Amino acid sequence: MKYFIVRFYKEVPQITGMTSLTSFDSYGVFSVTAEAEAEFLALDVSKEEITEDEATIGSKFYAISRDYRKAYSAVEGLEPDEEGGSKTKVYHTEQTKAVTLNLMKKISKRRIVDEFNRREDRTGEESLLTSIDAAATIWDLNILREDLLGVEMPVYQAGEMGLLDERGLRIVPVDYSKGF
Amino acid sequence: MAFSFPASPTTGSQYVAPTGVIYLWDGSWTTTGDTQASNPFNNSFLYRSIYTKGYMNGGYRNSSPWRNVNKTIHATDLTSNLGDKLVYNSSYVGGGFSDYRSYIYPSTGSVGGSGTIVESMSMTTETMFSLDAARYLKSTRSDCEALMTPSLTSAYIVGGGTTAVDRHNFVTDIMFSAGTAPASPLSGGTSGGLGALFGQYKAWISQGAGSSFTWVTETWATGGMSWATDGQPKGLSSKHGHGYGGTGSYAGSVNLGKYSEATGTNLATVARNKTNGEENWQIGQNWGYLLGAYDGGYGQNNDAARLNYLTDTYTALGSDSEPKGHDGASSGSCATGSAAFVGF
Repeated sequence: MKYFIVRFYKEVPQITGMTSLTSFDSYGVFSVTAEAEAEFLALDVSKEEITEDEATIGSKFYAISRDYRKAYSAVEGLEPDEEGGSKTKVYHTEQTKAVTLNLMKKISKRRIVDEFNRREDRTGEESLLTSIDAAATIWDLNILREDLLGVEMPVYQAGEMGLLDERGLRIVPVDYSKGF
Repeated sequence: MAFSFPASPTTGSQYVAPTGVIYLWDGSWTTTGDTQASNPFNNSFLYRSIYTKGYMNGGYRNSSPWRNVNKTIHATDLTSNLGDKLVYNSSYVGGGFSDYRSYIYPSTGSVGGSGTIVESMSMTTETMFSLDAARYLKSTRSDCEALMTPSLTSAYIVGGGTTAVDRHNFVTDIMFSAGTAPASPLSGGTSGGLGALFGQYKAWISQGAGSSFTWVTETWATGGMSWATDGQPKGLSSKHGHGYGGTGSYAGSVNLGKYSEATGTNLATVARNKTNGEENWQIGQNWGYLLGAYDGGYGQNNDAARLNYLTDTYTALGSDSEPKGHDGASSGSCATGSAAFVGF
């Protein structure tokens, strides 16, 4: 089994053995069996192979910059944190942070490259890619994704950064017009 | 056009040809030229308005509720981010729409919060209306659903942790208390969630068990249409006498049930490409959309798909159609507009 991030713009073709796992930031995460690999690789779409951990762990923790993600207890077979509750905190480890950061960088960089492939002028592409590469943490990359690509960071991170007013709303609106 | 007259007519027998021309048997088939309109647009429920676009509002991923609104053009499957338009962050909400406005029941600023505030946006100018207490819910609710009447002049708001029903008059923009619904399942399941479908004659609610509401008599009846165990798989309604909903709990199911508006029975099973629940379903004219959902294994996502009401075909869509501005959103709300009323 191999794993890929793929950008389908229109309809997603149905290939036996190519399974959609989830989708973030305009990219789908797919698993592809050995039998489906040739047909999948023949597709004329933007795609990049990722590791199994990036696909299965990085997807779950994607963009989570605090210490934990919240899982539905019943779905993942976990004990609820509160009696009668429905959610359980699943904490980051060094491994989950590393593979999540890798996945986020791959998707963000591919998004930049794919966008510049549609433009006639590639001015600014290298500096954007360098910035993404330089991000040391998920927290840092969330800031870059918002500032450079127009993808809103988690609300709790914006709160910790002092970007929210007393009603929990952004003081300065998110600029979504980055063209990505 | 070739057509066949009835074989054994009696005097006075009438035959309406496929052309719409009326023939009368008086020893032979004769006509005065009168016609019975065969114009399909005479179906006033189906064609009173033609849905052409829709809006996906808010939603959340990993404890972050969003404020932005995504607009989908149904002719092209293109979804674009209109930006942070909502007054409050919005998730675990029900969506409604009149001919002119979208509505969110209730907007609380949190994930899974309870409240009464109802937000509204003009689908013509795509600007928010000021908050107005006359429009607020009469009962505090969480993950409720709105059942839109056939003429889109009012909505009945149900579930969200209470059996009380509110009726929102879209013409005056005033909310009324409208009695109570049967205790089960209409208070909703976890977070008050429940699935809902509505059509020309009836609306249906399901959360483990089901109930129906008949428009013409404004009466509830228990029974039928059992899906959405905890109330998380949501419903996609249509103007074609049926709707769709997943089964199970939070993450829903791979397959969708196709349910009869008239009887609530499961008419067919529609295969999807993956499991999803807590869907943001957007109603369309001949097809509807999934625009973000919760897939269990990986959390809230930006999955997009189109479900054709006429063929029951489910088509996974790519980034052109996906919600934008965030990395995933389930439990948001949707509204649908018609070009005849609000422009393209």
